[in-house]
Amino acid sequence: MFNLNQYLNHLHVLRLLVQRELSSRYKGTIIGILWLFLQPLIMVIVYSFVFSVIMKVRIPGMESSYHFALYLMAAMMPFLAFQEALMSASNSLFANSSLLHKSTLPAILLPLVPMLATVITETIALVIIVIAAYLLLNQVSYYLLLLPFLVLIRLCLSLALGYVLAIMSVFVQDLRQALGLILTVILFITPIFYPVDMIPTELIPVNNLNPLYHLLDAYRAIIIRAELPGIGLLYMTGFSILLLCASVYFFQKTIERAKEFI
Amino acid sequence: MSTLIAKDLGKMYRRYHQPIDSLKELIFRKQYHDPFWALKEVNFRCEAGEVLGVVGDNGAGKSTLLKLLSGTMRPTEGELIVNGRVSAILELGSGFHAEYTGMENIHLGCAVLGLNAAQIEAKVDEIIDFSELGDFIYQPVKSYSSGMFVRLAFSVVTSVDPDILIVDEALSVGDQHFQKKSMDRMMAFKEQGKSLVFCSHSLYHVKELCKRAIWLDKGVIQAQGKSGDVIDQYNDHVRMQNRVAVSVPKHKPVETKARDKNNTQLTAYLSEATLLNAQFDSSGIAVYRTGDKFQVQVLAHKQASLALEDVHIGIIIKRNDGVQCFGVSTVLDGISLFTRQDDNDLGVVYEIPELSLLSGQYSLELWLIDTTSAHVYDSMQSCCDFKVRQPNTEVGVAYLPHQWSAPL
Repeated sequence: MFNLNQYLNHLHVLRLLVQRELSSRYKGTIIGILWLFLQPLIMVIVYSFVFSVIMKVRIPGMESSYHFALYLMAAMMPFLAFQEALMSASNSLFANSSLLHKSTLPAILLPLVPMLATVITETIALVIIVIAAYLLLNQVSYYLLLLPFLVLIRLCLSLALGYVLAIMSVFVQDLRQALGLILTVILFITPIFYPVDMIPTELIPVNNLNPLYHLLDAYRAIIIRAELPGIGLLYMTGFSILLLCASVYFFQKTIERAKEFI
Repeated sequence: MSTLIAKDLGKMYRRYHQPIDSLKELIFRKQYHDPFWALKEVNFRCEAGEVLGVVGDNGAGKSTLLKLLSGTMRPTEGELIVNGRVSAILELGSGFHAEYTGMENIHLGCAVLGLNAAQIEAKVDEIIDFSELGDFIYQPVKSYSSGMFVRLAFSVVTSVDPDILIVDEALSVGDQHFQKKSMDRMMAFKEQGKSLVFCSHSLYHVKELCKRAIWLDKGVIQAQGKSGDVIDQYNDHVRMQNRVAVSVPKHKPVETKARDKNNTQLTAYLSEATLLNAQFDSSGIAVYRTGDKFQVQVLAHKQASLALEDVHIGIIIKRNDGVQCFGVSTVLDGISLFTRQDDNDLGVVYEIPELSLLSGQYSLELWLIDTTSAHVYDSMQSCCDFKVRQPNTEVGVAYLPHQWSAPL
């Protein structure tokens, strides 16, 4: 049954669904597509204002007063995309039950749609941060060309966890409730609000196991420090790809069962 | 060429106490579910250019079958061979997204059914035209009435040029105008040599549209074949369920019904009722065709004290849903019963030269009455079961003589 034509066709459907997923957010609004830019822009401005102008948070080794705000945003924005991907993936099968049951669209595309949409929002946010880093910190380098790869790896990790979550939320309803909480915990145990140096030395090995740390630190390396990401990123990439393979297998293996409960 | 071939198709639903049990089952390889077979051993073929009707009660497995055919669900066992592009309307809508506008759903629906962007662009106007939705096409479909919804769904699934079209109940919610339009389109499909699988509670439509039909009952095929025959059998079944408080023992000897002659309380009793010159089908039930000769012999016995003139027989033909089709008695017709070996053995042959009943399952109700018709000596309920099959597709209870002529 599988042929190239069908494959191209699914790509077309996927494009329609992702477009619609994005456009639904600003549809009927007055400023329209600008909303996609406005949200990250306002966040950068507010964070910069609060942390740099009012609280004057400074981290050792950082000169500019805007440094911390951008340091924070460079990790925060990818994390928000990651969080949104997981939240929407866990809801994706429920939200598209009619497509799931009454059309021949492969179910594996359904969680993919909102997760792909986060790539767009993340990219917009990164562009804004990169511009801000240039304007406020005069920071720019060729390493920025590596950013698309980071986004891809971030997507890979999101998909890997998202597919498992999509299925597990069907079998264990509690998961949808717990997910928000779990993500908040992850937000705080990963060095996002604080530099990794502030972690007690005995906990450093534990932190090194956190794939998200290596990923988010790579964003900072490229945008804020203008340097090559650490070797940990490779570990993180391998981990994500393996996990993704396993989780796609799990998804395909269990989706027919999951359908019975949606 | 066969466009659809089902071989021993079966679908089992697993019922669990809680969803997680399904996952445990996969991991621990241990059964946690109660199996429920919605379909079992379904075998049929559908040829190109054929319209296949599917009838059956609620819960008979019709929707499950159509879902399997349309590919939105996989069979638990058996094999389904599909040759060509399938397009389906299942229970209102073919995977429409409630939040999307009609326009977005057209694009999505066509894309899912295998059209590329250019092909969709070329079809959009025609689809909107056919659905007659006008400006509503830019509203989210969740705001549509069920009629609007099905109009859009039908327009989309029929515009993608499918080889096999599957239509569930859906069309019944459209208004007369749209029903006519959609019927015409479906007929045009048939002419083009495409296959149609049509499921409806409107038996008349199934009979008229489909050459062949399948009757599903509790997940198994009860009958399949010429749609007229299948619908007749299904109708018998439906009427049986609808009958008004008539107790019908399942199996009764058709030919004779010997009575206990020691019954002394009656001064006369019915001893035997026999269908004469009847053809029997495989299950032992007499079968007539509309227009056949119908004869039944009724025998009775009276006590010597009773006068011959005071014993009469009444016969009522009853359909299995309790409708009394025709009833008459020897009193009414002014006939006296005939005596046999001795003066107390009575009998009569009731003959209808041309049985005008239409397809259905019938039985006789016999009454042994006195000359005032008020006193009942004896009666037999639901005896001499028989079936009638009609050659054409008239509707109703009986074939009434008629003619057509030019208006005055």
